[in-house]
Amino acid sequence: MTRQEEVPENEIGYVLIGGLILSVAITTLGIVGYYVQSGGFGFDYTTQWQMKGTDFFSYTSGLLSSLLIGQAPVAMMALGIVLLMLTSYARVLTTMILFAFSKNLKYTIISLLVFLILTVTLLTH
Amino acid sequence: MLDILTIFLLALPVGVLGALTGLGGGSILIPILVAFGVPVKYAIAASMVSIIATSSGAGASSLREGIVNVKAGMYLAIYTVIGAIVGATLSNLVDPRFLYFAFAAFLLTAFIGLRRHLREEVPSGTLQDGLSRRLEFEGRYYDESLKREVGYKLRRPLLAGAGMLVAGLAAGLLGIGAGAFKMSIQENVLRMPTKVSSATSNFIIGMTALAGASVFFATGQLYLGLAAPMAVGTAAGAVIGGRVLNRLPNRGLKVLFLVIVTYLIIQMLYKGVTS
Repeated sequence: MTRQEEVPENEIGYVLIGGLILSVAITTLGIVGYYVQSGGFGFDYTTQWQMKGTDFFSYTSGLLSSLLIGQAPVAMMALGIVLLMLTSYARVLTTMILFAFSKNLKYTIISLLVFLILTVTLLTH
Repeated sequence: MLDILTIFLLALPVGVLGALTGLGGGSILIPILVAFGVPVKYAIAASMVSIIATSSGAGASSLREGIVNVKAGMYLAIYTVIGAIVGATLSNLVDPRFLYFAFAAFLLTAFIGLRRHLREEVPSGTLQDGLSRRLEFEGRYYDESLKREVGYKLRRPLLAGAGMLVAGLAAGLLGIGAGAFKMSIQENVLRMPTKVSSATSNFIIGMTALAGASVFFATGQLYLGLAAPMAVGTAAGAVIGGRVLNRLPNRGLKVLFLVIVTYLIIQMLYKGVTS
């Protein structure tokens, strides 16, 4: 049996490219929106441009709320970056599910371990 | 001061280079940004995000071509992710000068190790240990430059895991993908073919960078004016790089890798002396 039959690598690839395209599209939209709004590409190191929160997931939900209210270009950029980070998170989840479907217990557990470590990190930072 | 458009134009070629060599691109991009006046801590944090983009773009292309060893990648990710979390957390406690010298020393080891195997297109005759067999550490892929299917076996997973822990630690401490570390371990310890090593390194780097980025996110060092154009630029570059990876000869990739590692050694020693 080939490796391709054991692990459907295409599925993980689709998650990566799908997440990447979505995040890049939203980030680009934010950049273009910012140019249209401000007439330039300049930025500074003030809190407006800063991505910071008590933990990643609460920041993400807060970001969605602010987007619904203001739809500011900088918030769009932030959403794009959040999606990019979530794409990396989703790749581990997808890999774990695919190993589970292919009934490979050993690698389902190994993937679960990576997933749990990342989840705890995102929850506590 | 740099603006968003200029950062995008700098990030694009770095994304191509990162995908071709298995390096995350951070090692190249950070000194460029710092040279343009970006505070080093902010450059490091934004670099972590761009590394995720490189890894996703190149990883998707390589996965479709069946080059990534997903099993080895997930096994090694356990070590690199833990290392990255510890490294990023400790980054404020360690003297940067020590880090620069340690970085240069580690890269020198990688340089010597890879030069030894420079003439070898694909490792052959690898004897597997019991744990490697239990971990199903083997694979095959179609090599377009050799025009044939290549099968390979990997070995010494525990030693490779220990090496990956160090690679993850360096990644977290220095804000880089540590692709050079990872590839040298995969090729010299595991005996992974160069293309598989480069593709698998890209696959792992995204997970390592996510762990590091979450720590920088918490410390408020992540700025969108840097991270957004870097992510878009490196992502576009990585997709281009990932598509041409399998068409290039292993020897050519190794030479490119060695040239970049040489540059990084000089750069790190310079930083160590001048910081």
